[in-house]
Amino acid sequence: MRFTVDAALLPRARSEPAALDELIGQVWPEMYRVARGILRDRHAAEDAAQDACAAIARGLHALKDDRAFYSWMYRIAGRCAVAAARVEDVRVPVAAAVNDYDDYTIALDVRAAIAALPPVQRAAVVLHYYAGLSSGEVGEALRMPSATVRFHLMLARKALEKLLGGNEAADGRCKHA
Amino acid sequence: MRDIRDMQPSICDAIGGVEVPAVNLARIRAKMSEPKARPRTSYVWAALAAAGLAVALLVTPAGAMQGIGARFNAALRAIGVMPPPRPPAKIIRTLLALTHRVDIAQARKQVAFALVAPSGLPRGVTLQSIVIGTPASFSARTHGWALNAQYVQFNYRRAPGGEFSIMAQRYDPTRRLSAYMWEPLEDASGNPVIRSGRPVLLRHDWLHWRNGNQLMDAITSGAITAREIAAVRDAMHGVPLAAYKSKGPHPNGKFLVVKKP
Repeated sequence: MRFTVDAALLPRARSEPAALDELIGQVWPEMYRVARGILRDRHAAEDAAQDACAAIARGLHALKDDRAFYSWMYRIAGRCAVAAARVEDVRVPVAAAVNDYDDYTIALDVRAAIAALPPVQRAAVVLHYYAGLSSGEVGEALRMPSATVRFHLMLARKALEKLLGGNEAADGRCKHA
Repeated sequence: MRDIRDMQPSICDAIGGVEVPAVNLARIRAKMSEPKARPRTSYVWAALAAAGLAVALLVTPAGAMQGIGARFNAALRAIGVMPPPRPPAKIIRTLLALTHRVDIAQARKQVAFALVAPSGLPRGVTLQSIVIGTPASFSARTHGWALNAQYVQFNYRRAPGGEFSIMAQRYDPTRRLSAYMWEPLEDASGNPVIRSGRPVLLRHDWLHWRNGNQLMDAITSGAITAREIAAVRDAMHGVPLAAYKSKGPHPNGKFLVVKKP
């Protein structure tokens, strides 16, 4: 898993409010990135990421194995974002969403392409290719069988390949490696 | 054509390069103390339930409200949708207390928007009553009931025996409008109709328009067509409002959708 938090922080966060705040501060960027990858609107992403952080804070005491923390938190982020995406897809036209991406050229292409996918495919791509969850874990987050996740990933791959077909292959590694 | 394996670093870069706003710990703490959202079947069913129940409450005399609620819930279960829980007694009491018949002058005094009465109605239509009230809706997100904005309902009768309503309420630009109203089809004894093993839903057109700060809407039925509703809207010089055309409460084929003629 690429993203890590301070290992000593998890047990402390269960009992110390200050440590919990610190943990939220550490996971917040990842929660937001996952939500932003799935949601087209940055305000909706912020709201979903806040929901995910709140869910993590509420559920942390019930997490028995700290080694499962990362996949657990990504699953929560995915679930919150997908729930928001069901509403968002009604409100945000694709063209507006694509125009909203104003960062780097390659990122623009890839994120605009991801934004053009249906919400479930977006979530599957972000959780599988960015968060590194297995299809089973993605299925748990999206409440669907892993075979269905693989099917959505296959559809997403085809769509992304088509959308990005004209671009040069991008190099580079995950920034959070 | 690029392979997904080539794209993965780009995906990581694209998502990882997202500019992250500062964490709002106060907002997160506030969300932590909110009631936990229960798993929901679908957001669309919430719209269906809210709209359906609101309509059920509005068109029904107060005394029969509980019966309608039970019937509506049975219809929801029949189409594989988890019905909302029974509204708390406090909500029901408030609904009943706030719902009463008025005349147009009284209605204008009581609402917080400039009430424009429907005009341009089809021939043979007579106004039966004007009801002012407050609908309740169930939120799948908070798993709670809430009272919505005040409405005025114009109830009409059309010979021979058809009835329909036109609703007015304060315009809210954030409100999501649906282009369709879904109704489980029932047989003569009130049981859901099953065709090819799947319950049947009727799709009614739902038209919305705006006059100043008033939102008005009407649903097609056997007593009024979409064209006639549009004629009312045009006669009132209403501004048509765009609405979301959903594919139905369950886009997985659990039911059959039939557009009502």
